[in-house]
Amino acid sequence: MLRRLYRSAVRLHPSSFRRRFGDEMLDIFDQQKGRLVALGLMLDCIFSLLRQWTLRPDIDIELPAALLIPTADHIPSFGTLDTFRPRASAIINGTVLSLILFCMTVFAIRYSWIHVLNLRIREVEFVSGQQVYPQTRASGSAGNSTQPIIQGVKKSNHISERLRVDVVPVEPESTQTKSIASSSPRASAAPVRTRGVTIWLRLELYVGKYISNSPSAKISIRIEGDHLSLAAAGHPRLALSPVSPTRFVIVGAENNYVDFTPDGQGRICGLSLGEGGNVIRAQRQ
Amino acid sequence: MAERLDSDLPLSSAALHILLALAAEDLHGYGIMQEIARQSKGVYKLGPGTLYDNLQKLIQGGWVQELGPRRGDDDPRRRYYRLTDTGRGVLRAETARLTRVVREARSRLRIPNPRRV
Repeated sequence: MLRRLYRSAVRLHPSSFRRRFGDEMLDIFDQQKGRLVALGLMLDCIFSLLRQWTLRPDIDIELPAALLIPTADHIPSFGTLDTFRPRASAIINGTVLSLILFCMTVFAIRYSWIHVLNLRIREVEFVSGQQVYPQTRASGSAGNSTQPIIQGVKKSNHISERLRVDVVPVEPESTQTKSIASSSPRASAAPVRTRGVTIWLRLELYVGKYISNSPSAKISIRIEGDHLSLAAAGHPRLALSPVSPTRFVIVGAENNYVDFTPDGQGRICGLSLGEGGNVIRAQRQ
Repeated sequence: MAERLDSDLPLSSAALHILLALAAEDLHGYGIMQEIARQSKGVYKLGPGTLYDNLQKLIQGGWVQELGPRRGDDDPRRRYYRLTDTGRGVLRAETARLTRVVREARSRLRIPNPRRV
């Protein structure tokens, strides 16, 4: 087995080296005894292979005439690829050019306004400064106990600015669920898992019509079963899945999302629909 | 001539040992490996890949000559190699250089010279 591997590795050497020294290398391999020694020779052969193709591309010694095997009728055999070896500088130049081309392609995909592949690479931002926690109200105030209350959110077009909101529940999950159920028979709730805990959202807080002036669009959000759905003119209704109290992704197209914008009192007053790199902002009617 | 030889120095360990192994007699590849192991008391072991890579360079430099297979040898795949006059000159120059290095080291480290028998 090892001999077969060794012979294969010898055959992978450049043709001039293989013709000249290949048989002798196999002879030396045959002389050795022991598995460890054979493994050492195998390793040596692999290093030799790398060295011959990378560091010795220019060495091409012709065999003495007495050792050459004459070809029939002096017709050369098909050996173009076998004898061709690029120069080391050509390999290095090719590698550098390939790397530059690769980097330019990645850069173009990431920053080009033409989103051919519809790739969305989320920007990483380290959160510093204030973190906003939900203010829980008394459970007696009907229907409002689990409303997402968000403060300190700057009105900015930057997506990551809104993602700064870090919601962590402070009440036991069972209490919140109960308050939703008792508040209204129509009340619907969707769970959001944040940092390993579940937050229940009141979906009716997001329901409504949203109008965008540029581009002109009407977006309708309503509850369907246990989830929100989105409808825009000329498009089928799409289900939304929550990832945070203000962000929902479109089911089946997780790169597309809806960011709900709360006002100072925590009421939803608008949304941003992100679709294939374009963002449509709409105000609640 | 001496200047040209000096420009080739210092030799790599592998090249030095190969030239040294061929200094006494013509050897085939496996014989060179065994001779190197003997000279270095088993400390320096050369694999076939390293051996033939260095032999290739030495042949190209004209320091070693390939003789081909020898009649009556057990294995016809074995080719013998011989040190050329140029190679012998390079080996002499390297030996002289190493002697100077050893002398300098002995002087710096205050190691007494070995007694001549």
